[in-house]
Amino acid sequence: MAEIRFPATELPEGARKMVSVGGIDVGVFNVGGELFALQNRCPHQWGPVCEGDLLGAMESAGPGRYDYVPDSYRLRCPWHGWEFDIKTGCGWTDIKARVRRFYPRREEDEVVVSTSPGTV
Amino acid sequence: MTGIVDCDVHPAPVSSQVLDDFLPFGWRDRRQLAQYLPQQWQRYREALGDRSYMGAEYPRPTPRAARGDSWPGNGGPPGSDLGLLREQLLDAWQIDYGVMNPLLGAGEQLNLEYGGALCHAINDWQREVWTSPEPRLHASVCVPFEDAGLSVAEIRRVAADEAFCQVLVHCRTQEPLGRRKYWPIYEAAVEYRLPVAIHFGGWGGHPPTPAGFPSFYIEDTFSMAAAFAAQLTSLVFEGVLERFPGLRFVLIESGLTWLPGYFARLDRSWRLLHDEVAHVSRTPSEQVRAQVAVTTQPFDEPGPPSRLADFFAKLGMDDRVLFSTDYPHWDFESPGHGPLRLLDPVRKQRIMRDNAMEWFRFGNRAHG
Repeated sequence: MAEIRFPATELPEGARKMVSVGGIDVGVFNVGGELFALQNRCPHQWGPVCEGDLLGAMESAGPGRYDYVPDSYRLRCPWHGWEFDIKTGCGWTDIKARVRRFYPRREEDEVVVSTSPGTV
Repeated sequence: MTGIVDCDVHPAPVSSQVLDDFLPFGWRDRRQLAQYLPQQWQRYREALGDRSYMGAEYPRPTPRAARGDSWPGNGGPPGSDLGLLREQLLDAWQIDYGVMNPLLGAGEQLNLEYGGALCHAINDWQREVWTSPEPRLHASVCVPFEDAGLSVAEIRRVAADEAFCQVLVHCRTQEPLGRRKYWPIYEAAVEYRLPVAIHFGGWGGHPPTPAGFPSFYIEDTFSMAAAFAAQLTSLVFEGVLERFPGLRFVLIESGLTWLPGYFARLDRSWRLLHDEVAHVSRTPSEQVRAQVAVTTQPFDEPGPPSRLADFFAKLGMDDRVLFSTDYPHWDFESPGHGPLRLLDPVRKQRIMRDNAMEWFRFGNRAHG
């Protein structure tokens, strides 16, 4: 298990920060106070997925329906637009494609990002 | 493997004014030079802008159809900054040669004289802004391809310069490319030993699908393979490939997984209906395999190495497949981590580099 930590002030609400955890490039996100972290490598062609936009979801209940879900949980890779759930790393464009997930948490005035979900 | 050749790179002017400096006499923006010189064509461009057929563009999925990270920091559009192009493409992947295909609408101008002037400007701009400072990049001769006379004049003006490695036309044309009106372009290409590149896109005034106007860009882009198939079919059955044995075409951004099935149907149709085209003496697919190359992007990712090997065996064009990225467009294919990473080393070497080195005679381009 590898961990890194940095001051929480470096990740205010709405911000993202690129870090290295055990030699792996990781993007850490603060979305409305919730913290998420994913490897900065798209499973499709290894694009810098964590540099992409965070968007709501365009969904549809059936032909001719356009339903926009106005949250900010979809991370869109800047190369080909593949979208991933920021919470889980699961792909929307291809459900088999998954970005490796990392585990951020707050500890007092720091953010800790770990390769493992297990805490102290 | 040493080096890579990328057969589809798209440069863009920093702004529409940049090209004005390269417009030939009578078209150039003279105001900054001297107030008393003719302004007619510069005024035309300023007042009316480019004019092609209505409805030519289905909205792309991203601004300027570009990768989100390809916008230079200086505010210019993707593909307009040589430094970023080097960083994200040429240096990032150790690319030995890149072939530029400027898609700036010059070939589709309804005012043919203006289209010719625009091609003139684009070709000079490629040379001065791109190939002179960066010899890894090669240029395409842009031509107003709906008028053979103007196109041949432009080929003759620049083709002796080894910075130019092909003549560029678009896939959707007014008439199928085998028709006689285009033949003078082919004669000039043969004379200068340049392949004719047919690139994705264009607009000949027809609906983008043979069934009419679709609702979605996804249909527009998907149906381009049908347009490429129509062009190949025309080149074969009009007898162009046989009439000009030295003529070579390269399909750019056509995709290629449709080709094996297309070949089977093409040959079968010819066996049944050959009387109508008695001038066609060789099996159509043989002609195409001999005189046509095809670039890799967008590759339809047919999965594991065994399926890739099956596909390339069916295609039968191992020496005619040329690697391309389509940088900086949204469907850019990564040289390192794209679907071709799973190719066997022998095919990979041919496709990523050697085929294009032979096809374009890079490093060995003496004309004659």
